[in-house]
Amino acid sequence: MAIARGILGQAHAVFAALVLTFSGAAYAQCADPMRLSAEYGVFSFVQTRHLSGVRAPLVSRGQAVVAQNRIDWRVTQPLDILTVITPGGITQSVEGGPPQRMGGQGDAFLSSAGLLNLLAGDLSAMTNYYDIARVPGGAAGAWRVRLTPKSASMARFVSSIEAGGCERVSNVEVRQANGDRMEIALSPAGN
Amino acid sequence: MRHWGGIFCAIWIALACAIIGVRSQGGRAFDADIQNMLPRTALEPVVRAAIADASQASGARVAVLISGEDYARVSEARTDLQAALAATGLYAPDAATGEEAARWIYANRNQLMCEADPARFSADAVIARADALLYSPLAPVSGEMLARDPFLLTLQLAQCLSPQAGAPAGDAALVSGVLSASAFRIDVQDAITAAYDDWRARWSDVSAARAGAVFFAEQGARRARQEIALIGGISSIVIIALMLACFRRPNAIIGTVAATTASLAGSLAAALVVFESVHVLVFVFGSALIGITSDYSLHYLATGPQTNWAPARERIQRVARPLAVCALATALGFAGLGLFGVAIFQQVAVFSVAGVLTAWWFTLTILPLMDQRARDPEKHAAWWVKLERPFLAFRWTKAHAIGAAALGALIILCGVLRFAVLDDVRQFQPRSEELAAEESALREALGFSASPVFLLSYGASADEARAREEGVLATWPQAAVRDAFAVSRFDPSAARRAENEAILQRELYAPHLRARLEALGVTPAGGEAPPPALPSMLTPLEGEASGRRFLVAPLGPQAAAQRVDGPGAVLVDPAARYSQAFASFRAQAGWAVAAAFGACALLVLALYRRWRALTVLAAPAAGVLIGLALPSALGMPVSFFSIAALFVVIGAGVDHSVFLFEAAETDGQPKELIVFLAALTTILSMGLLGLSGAYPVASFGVVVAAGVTAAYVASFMPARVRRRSVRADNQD
Repeated sequence: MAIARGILGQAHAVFAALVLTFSGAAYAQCADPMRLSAEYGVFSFVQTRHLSGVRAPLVSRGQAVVAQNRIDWRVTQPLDILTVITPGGITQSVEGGPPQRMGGQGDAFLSSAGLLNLLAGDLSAMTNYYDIARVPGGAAGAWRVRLTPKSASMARFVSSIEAGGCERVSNVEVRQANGDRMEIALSPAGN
Repeated sequence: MRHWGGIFCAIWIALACAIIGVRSQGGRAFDADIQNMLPRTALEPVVRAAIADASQASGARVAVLISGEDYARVSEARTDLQAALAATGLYAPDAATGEEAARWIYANRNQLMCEADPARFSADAVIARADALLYSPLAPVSGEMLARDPFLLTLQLAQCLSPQAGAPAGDAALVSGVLSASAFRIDVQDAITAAYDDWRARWSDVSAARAGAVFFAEQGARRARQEIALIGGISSIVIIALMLACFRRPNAIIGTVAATTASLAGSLAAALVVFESVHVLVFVFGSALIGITSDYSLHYLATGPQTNWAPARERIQRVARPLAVCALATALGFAGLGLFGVAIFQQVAVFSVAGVLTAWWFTLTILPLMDQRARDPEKHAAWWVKLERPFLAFRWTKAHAIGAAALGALIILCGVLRFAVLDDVRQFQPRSEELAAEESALREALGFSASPVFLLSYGASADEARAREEGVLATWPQAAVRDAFAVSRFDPSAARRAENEAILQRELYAPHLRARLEALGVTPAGGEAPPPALPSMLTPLEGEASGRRFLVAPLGPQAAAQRVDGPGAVLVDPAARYSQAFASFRAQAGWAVAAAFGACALLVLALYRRWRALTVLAAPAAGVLIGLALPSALGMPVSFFSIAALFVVIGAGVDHSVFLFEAAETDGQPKELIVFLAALTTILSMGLLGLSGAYPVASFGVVVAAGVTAAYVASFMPARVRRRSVRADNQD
């Protein structure tokens, strides 16, 4: 359904952001972002959604557990929402409820995101789906990249994704086609 | 006089061809709907129509899951397949129907409810779900959406109204949609599978898993065509070779083919005149008729070498009476089928009686004109005598009789011990393991399962049907409700719409809307779009039959396990209904076999006026017994199709017996060779069907092969009785 496609279109952007977020540098100091590799572990995140026409941003916090072929994205504030992403599919449970499969029958947006590649943190594989370009970064060698969807169907939902960091991706901004934005700030758990 | 008979017969055949030609133009002459095979009383009209709708709705779906190591290739392959299927003009992708549904839900969101029972509505739960959507990383929430739908009812309803299913994960892509025409139409099957096969050839480096009735139906039809071509080809070649070996002239083949063709033309024309459309299954009996009617021409053709091509009048006299007895007995047997009030049996009765009588007429009037005296008749006669010699040399002794009886008893005993019936249509046609595995892989990837069962709700009006469907769903657990794809969930009855709207206003909007808007900082947006039409995915699930409106709700396994209480609603398992109907057919066909025997007995008693004439029924009786027992002994259960084959056995058995019985009385000419030839051609033409992979065809063929063989062997018994009685009469 169109609604489901919307869900998955946005999911694509989120996954791309997650991969960027969980990619760590193989080198000391600010590394080449295209040589980042997947980094497994537990991370804290703050997600801020800016919706056009909505006065206050929607802020959620939580933890993400990243393992090979699996990401547990748990929002703990203001609600408890656990989203589990595996090669077999995506499930979501709210406030401890039973997990439910996400996505609609007949929709291919999720797969078009190249989910397995994204989960593996294979940024070079993401060039299949995005044009990736360096944009001016921050201070002290921090870098910033912009991902622009290649497919028109994806571009209906996502304008671009920008990620920045040094040793690893520390912030991601997803710009949606309808003008909404989502920012994710990430740090290792406990910080 | 005979010439006039030939002229009238030719006129009838020409007329029959004209009738077939004219009726075939309309496109409604032939009917392939399995439901029309069923007796009118087997299913209520509403159930019958609902099964048709459900079959159309489920059969129309097509899905292909594409996967591969290189996602770029997968994505390109998906686009190419979508284009290829769309180019057939028979396929519409799900994307279009999905957007329709989303617009419908949005427009009706204030009159719909996730809860099937309005009493279970909880405003707090709605708000909690809306908040979850706001903070979920996957929800497609936008500012504009919140301004129009602050509780995100549209998103909630989109998730809860349809059965749960996932999207393909990993480097996989799904192509799915619906067919605009029946998946059981041969042209549709050919177009879709050709598009798929061509695509597959272009994209051999990706994997694909298919699901859809069209693929199974095409595979079954293709297998049937291959089998018919193979079996029909082999049997035709062997029969032609056999006839050439026996008659040594192509005239015999031409005459036999002409007689059977004339018979089929007459039978089909008669059926088309009497019935609005003829079911394709009737042609199964049509193939049976070939085995019987070709015998008539063989009997006449054999009189050529037997009499050294005596004048046609004399040759006709030799076969006229036994042919008349055979034709009448067989026609009476088939006519008995018409007494059972089953539409397809009535069609078979008209079809067969007309075919048998046309073949008889043709054999006695036109065939003699075609079968002219051979150039070297003595040579042919000598060859015939040579062929007959081993048959005449054989003496049927007591030892043979005891051996045959013992073997027959053993077969019957084994058959009784291993007797079983099969009416389950699901076991009639073997499913392709390859397609089944692909379908299973696709279902697993999508987390989707389905059952063949559906909920049928009906009433005097569409609104009443909706109310009854709602009544049933309200009694089910919510998880089971989500496992059903029900029209009333998207388009409730007027009463339920009003009730839902009142509850939403009273419990959600009135107490919570202002606070919600303030918390979000949203200004409500106005200007609703005009309501859209009911989504096309729902329209096939609604229908009308016998003045009653009905709804069909496809169910998943969890919903199919629920109970349905109350009037106007019932769970329907089409396969079970068909199986019950086939069981009923089988029982009725069994009585028809008994009726056929009764008719034949009356006929031979009327003609021969002697009790011992009843011995001509011994061969068909033995054929029927062995025809049922031998397949059972070999582990093949008895079905409706087995019983249908018994009519061939009776017809062939009566033919053989009557000719051998008559031989002594008419001219003393031996009939052993021609009876053997007739039996062999019947066994070859239909017995080879036993090699088919489709159970109905195989069971038909095996019963014919076993039954005709037994009838052939047993047909010598009445001849011996006749000879013995003739000798006794002479001594007296």
